[in-house]
Amino acid sequence: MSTLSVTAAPAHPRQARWTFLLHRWALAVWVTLVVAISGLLLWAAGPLADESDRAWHRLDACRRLSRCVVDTGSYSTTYTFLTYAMILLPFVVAAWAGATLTARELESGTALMAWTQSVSPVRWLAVRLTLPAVVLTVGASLLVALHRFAWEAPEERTGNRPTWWVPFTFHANGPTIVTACLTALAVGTLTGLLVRRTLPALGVSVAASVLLLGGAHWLMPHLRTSVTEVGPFQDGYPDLYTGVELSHGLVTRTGAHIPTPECQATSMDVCRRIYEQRGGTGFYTTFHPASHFWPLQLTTSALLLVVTALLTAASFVVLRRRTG
Amino acid sequence: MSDTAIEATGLGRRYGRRGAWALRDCAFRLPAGRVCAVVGPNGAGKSTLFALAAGLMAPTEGELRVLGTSPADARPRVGYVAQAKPLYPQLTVAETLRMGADLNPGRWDAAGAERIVAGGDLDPGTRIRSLSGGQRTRVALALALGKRPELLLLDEPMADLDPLARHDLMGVLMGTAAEHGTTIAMSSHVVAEVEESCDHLLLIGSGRVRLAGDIDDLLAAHLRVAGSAETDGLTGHTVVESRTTGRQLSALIRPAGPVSGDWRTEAPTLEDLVLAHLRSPGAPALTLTEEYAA
Repeated sequence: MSTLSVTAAPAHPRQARWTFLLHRWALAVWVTLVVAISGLLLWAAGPLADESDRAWHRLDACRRLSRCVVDTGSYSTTYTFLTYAMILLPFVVAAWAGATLTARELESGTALMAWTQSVSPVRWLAVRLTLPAVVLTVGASLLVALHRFAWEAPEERTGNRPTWWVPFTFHANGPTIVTACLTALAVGTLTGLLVRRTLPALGVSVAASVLLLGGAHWLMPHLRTSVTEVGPFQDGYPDLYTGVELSHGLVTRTGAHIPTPECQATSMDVCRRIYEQRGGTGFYTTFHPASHFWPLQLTTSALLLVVTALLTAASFVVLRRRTG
Repeated sequence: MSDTAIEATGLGRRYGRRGAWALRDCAFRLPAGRVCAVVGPNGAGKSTLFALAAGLMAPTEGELRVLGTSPADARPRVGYVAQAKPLYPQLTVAETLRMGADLNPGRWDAAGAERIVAGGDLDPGTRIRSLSGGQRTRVALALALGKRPELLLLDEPMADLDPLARHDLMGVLMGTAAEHGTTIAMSSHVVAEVEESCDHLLLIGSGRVRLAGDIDDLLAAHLRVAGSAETDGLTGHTVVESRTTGRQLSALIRPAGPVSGDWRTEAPTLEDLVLAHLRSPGAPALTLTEEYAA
């Protein structure tokens, strides 16, 4: 027994090579997506952003003269399309991971075949998770950098580009989308291990990642202390639409924050009287200003990484308990 | 090297928390170096037993030792071919064998694996998805044998093969067993398929071990008797199965001593033994492996 175990030990099984080979189509699709989105982002950052800036300058000039129509080009459409595409990436990853990374192999039995080669199930899963995680991190990080570049390219002015806190722009501009891809990978892997059938695993993975990532987005503004600004009625809501908003409403004499009562009147004075009857002394807005961009990005990413780690640990526990 | 290839005590496996038991109370011992037939009807629990022994599934209860250790630790020394012969459909035959070499460094027998594939007139450039059932079996066997296992678990290995290929591959398997002392366990529900090549039997019915032991010993422990239904004298012997046709009674018994009375006796065939035990679920099980334990 001992002599055989000694001779069997030397080199490590070259599992990585085969994981790449078996998923070469998935890798090719991912690379194509990253290259295509990168190219379009560069195009948007260069010629399209310039075209848009020129159009807005013409608009400024002609506003002083008369009514005029200006074609702002396709920066905005292209930008929006690319932002949406990037937001969809984690769900594509979840679908792939759920369907083909684990479930299909368990359904067809090829996973069992791999485990009876000299690759233990735990090692099989470790390689299967690490390689896509590296590929996803590299690709998604590149896209985030280029997205920021494309977002910053045109001059900062209303109508020209979305503000930093618009949800899809917010996520595509920072590491949350990268960690979301990793969470989706972990969701898909665990689902595949549990469901063990390709199509149901695909559906469950996508649904679960929509819930998880949607939940993380909903939690995001609460992960860090927000800022509350208070101002008099005549100034309107302070700093409204300048950041990630949590709430806005009336401040009362006692300092309480209440929702603004409905006011159909066209005159501000009438509304103001209604507000004052309710004890209002001014408006407030609770929000995250632009300086909170990175803190929000980092806390949300950290949260997603913790979730990813828990899901990954669960995958290993499931596999170990199943195979002994 | 351990002298025991597989040893089960109180082994049980159930699917789902409230599911039926696929295997229950299994106790047997397969000595190393044997070629063992695991026989039983469809759904008897043969595949479950193989998956447990290959360390692909944890038992619900009881213990299973493979090559002197746990099934998970023994995995690198065990070859396994599942009933469905799973292989990656997108790889070619040559790629599949190269994968075997890469995943089993230090123990891969490239020449041996290629010889098995070459025997089937297979183009190494063919993708697995376009192979016939029998050709797939050949590649799956090459992959399992290529890692030079000490224990080879084959779940219905011959089901898809034509008689010629079956004969050829059986020869390869027996050659391997003889050359390297590999223990082979192969399942089948056709007794004739395994009778000539196996020296050990594990009969499973309804998730339980019905017979286990050396085939010759098992055959020697049983007797087929026939006589008039009025004849006495079977008391004291274990009657596995008895049938009365008119006034004629024929039975398969485990004699406790010499059979007295007016009985015609003859040695049973393996098929008799298997069928009688499967037809009489109430008959007591017989395990004849104790003498090897010393």
